[in-house]
Amino acid sequence: MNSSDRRDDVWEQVKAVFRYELLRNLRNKNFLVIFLIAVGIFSLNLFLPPILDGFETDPNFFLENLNPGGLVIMILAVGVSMKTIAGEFESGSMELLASKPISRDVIYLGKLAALFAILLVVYIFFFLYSLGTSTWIYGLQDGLSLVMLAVPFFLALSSMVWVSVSLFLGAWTKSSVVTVLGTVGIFIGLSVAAGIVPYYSPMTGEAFNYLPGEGESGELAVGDEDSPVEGIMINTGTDHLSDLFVTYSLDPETNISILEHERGCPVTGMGGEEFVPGDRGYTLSSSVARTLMMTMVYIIGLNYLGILLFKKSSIMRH
Amino acid sequence: MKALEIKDLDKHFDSFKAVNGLNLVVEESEIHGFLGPNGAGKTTTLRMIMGLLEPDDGDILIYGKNNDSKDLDVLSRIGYMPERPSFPVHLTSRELLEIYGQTYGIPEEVREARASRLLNKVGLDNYADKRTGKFSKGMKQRLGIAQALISEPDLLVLDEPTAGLDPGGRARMRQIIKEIGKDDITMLISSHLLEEVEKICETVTMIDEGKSVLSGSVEELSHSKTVLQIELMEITSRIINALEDLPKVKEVIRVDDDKEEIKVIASDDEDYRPVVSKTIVDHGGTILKMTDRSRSLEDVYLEVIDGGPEDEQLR
Ligand SMILES: Nc1ncnc2c1ncn2[C@@H]1O[C@H](COP(=O)(O)OP(=O)(O)OP(=O)(O)O)[C@@H](O)[C@H]1O
Ligand SMILES: [Mg+2]
Repeated sequence: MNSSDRRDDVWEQVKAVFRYELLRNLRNKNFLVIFLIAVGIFSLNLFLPPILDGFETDPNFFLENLNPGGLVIMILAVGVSMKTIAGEFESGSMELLASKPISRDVIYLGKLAALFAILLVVYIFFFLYSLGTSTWIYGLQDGLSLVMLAVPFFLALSSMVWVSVSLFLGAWTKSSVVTVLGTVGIFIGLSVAAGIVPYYSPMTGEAFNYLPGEGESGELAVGDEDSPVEGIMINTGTDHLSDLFVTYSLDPETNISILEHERGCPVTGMGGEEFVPGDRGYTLSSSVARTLMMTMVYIIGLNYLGILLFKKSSIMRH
Repeated sequence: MKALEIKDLDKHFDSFKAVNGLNLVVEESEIHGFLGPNGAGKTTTLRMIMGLLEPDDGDILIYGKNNDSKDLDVLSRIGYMPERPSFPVHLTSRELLEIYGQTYGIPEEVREARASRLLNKVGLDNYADKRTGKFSKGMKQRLGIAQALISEPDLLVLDEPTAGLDPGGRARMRQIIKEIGKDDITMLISSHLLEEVEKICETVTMIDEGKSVLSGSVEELSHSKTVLQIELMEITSRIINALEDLPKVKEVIRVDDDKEEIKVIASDDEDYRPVVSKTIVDHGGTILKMTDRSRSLEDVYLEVIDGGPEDEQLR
């Protein structure tokens, strides 16, 4: 067999695994359940403000709510990937796949590609759903731009960080329960830490930009009331690659000023129960670059380790 | 040419040696039975052949090439049916055969046609477009065979293809395997069902506690010796010892716990009836019935595999 035959074969194999993973996932009832939960949480974002505060038109609603939030991003990721590696070890079906003349890298990467494709389609749906509902509830939207078409792609990348955590845990433990609990646990742990740590020590908040999740919270400040992005609340972690990218594209000169907890009187505890923009901040461009870099570092790093573990695995029923 | 050669293979799980210096040779075009009791190390060995488990030591040569590094060219010549195969439940049999076929780089039209033909061959044509999650054990076994054949392999490795099937299912599986065997294909079939193997295989290797204890052709193994099956009034250790001391008697086995019946295995096929019956009578026994027959694979198995219940009775 010459090398170009081999290359054709590898391409065919990637297609085979891609289709396998796609069908395995999409026909699973769990997928539908997770998808509906995500749609539900996302819908709360859209419908809750008018229900709670009364109806008001808001031409910036779509722009300000491009991101469904870390919980949706993580839930979808775990939902599609929890059984991708671990589940096949548990059921024993990995034994069939791995006995074919196909390298473990191809199995892993073919599955990874399928998960990305599924997430991309889900986020395209979310994008259209959000655009439609925003216009319907809040009136015609301002600030629409072609760069927004990149939102589903970047959301899928954000989800891929959690997919990578989950696949890494799956390849390591071969247990879908550990995979789910581990990924959700890391998400909750980091979210709680990101909420508490900056409260006591504002400077350490920066560390969260280097971990998966929400990162720091801030407010976009252009210094120009006419800018479409002025005053938008935004987060700087890997979950927010999409909104960082879009706001950056709309106004590259923007700064983010990080919110700080305004401490009240140390004795009475009064007067300080709010987060307000503080002295610290980043340029939006540096923040986008950092978040994109960290997203890729996690996706590449965790999957590299995942592939190593998968290749070393004994394949039998676990 | 040797299709498969295993030399001094070792594999341990923690401190337990599952495979311990195993040797095995399968010549091209033969149907080779791989026999051993539960836990003998059959599945572990087959997984190492397929590159699913890493051996601790020893060599596995497939058509002369080492499969230690999970050589894809080697794997592309083998079809493998795992023990109790498990499929992703949401895919249909046809989709699976097609997808597995695609991993061998088989062109689309070819693999589609082949999938249909194989599903027909194993009697699953009515279930071709049903998801495998609803399949019975027997249907999964048959799909297991079909997927192992999708690449028209040179070497077919089957791990207990008839395990867990009802008698009808077993007969059907045997029929399928025999039919496959008509083509020019090499097969290695693991089993602990001796009659099965006797009906299907030409050569066998028996293993116990991770070691090969015997190998040869079924013909040779079962017909080179005779077995006397004797029903006595009462079995005593005096009789057993006396029989065991006879020059050409190889082994004396008690057939069943609750029957006064023994098997005397002689080392060649002379007629031993006179000398055996005389010995029994001389030692105070009464013979109720004595039959002479050639040895079955089961007799051979019981002789060479340690720790069988019949063996223990007499020690
Ligand atoms: N993953 C594992 N971890 C620990 N021990 C194992 C593992 N897999 C197999 N074993 C042990 O190795 C021994 C050989 O097992 P194996 O499955 O190869 O036997 P077998 O000959 O196929 O038996 P059977 O006829 O029951 O299928 C058994 O004692 C089994 O308990
Ligand atoms: Mg077994």
